[in-house]
Amino acid sequence: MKICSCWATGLLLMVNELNTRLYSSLTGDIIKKISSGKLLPGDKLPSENMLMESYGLSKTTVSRCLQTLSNEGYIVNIPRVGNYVKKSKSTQYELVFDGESNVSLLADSMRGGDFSCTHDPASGLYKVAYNKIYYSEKKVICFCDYLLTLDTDDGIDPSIIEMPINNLLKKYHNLHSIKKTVIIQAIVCPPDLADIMGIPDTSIIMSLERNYYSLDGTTIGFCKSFFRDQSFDFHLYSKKSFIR
Amino acid sequence: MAYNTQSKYHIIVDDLKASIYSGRLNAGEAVKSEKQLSEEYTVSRSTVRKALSALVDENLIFTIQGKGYFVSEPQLNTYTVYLNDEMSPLKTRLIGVKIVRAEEALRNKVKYNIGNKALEIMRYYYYDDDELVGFGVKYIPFNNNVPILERDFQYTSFEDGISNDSKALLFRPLAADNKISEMLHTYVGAPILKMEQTIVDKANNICSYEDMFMLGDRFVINGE
Repeated sequence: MKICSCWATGLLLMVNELNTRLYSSLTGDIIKKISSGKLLPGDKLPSENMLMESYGLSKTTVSRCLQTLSNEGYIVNIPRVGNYVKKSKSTQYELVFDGESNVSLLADSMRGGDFSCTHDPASGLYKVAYNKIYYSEKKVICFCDYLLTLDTDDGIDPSIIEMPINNLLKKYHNLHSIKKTVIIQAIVCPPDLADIMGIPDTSIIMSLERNYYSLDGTTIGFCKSFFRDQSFDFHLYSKKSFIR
Repeated sequence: MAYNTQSKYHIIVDDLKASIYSGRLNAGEAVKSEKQLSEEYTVSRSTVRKALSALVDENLIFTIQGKGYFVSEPQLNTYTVYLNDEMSPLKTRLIGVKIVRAEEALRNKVKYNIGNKALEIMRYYYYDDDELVGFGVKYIPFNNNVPILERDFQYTSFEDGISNDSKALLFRPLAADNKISEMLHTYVGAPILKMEQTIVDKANNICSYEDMFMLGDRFVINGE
């Protein structure tokens, strides 16, 4: 009885292993090709018949492999058309960063300073520069440096420092015509900033730089924020796709 | 076989983008229907759907089931971050795998139950030109009854293949300690971007947890 069950288990294992190997030869190969860039998002995979021939697999095995790949998000199957490499969602993350409001939650006070404003009569644009320092329990937790180009006829009041940057951009620009980028990096704190933050020169801090451009590529402005080590947690979440 | 820049797919995407950027289509307004677009550009519905889905990915439009597509309100505070894009893909090199007691390894780190045992997978991260970028220690719940697929530590970098899972990534700056500087051939105190990635499936079961230590001067997170 015992021998028998061992034998059966052994056989089952063998069959399982064989199945796994058959699967993985095709599945693994395609995953490899996608990861290495030999197959690009949007590329069409060879037809099932072609895959059957080139891998020497049965139709059932090929379909199961393709099903696995589709389940795991590597490919998309369009009935009667074929299989396509999916644009990888898994490497797309969403960062929701509101700057001021995120930081304000942690800070107990904020001080704005170094406000300057120049007006270019030719273009009618104002160039505004200022910085903000956020404190928590008298320690500097974040330093932000701003430079913005604003288009207005009403002049600029220093009280705009109090406004979150997103509100400012909304007020003075057409939002759909703004391109934005964010660059996040762990850096060694520059000496002048270390002075402001009251931390050693060699400290490692987080730098988060937001740049805003118009569609033709001209710079609208930037905000460079620096966060004291461990004072702020940044979260990224995987992006959900809404349609297939 | 990359996209042909003249393809109808691209023309549709560019045309729609142009009308949104120029303000001809405002936030909240409806985009032409799939049917209208496929007739106008004489392409299949699936090409139209692909083009629309590209715009959805970029948050320019959104869909309401049964109603169609609409122009989104621009989200200044929401960025799409590509951690492993096609321009600079990350490769992994396996350092070692062992079975560890999950609770000891992950105490205070993961709020999900990872079980008694876990596979600890250590990997280096490289750019395509073999430039070392960082290393990661990944934990996968280990269950004797569930086979661990080869790809779990061979193919995956950030992509973990399992669709519909939610991933959360936490990142913070760190100064390299002795161990990290040794692993990454850098000096003690070098800037390190530490990332903690938790992947859970739909049923909130943990799929994996990983600590990644990336060289601050080589690994930069970009978003748009």
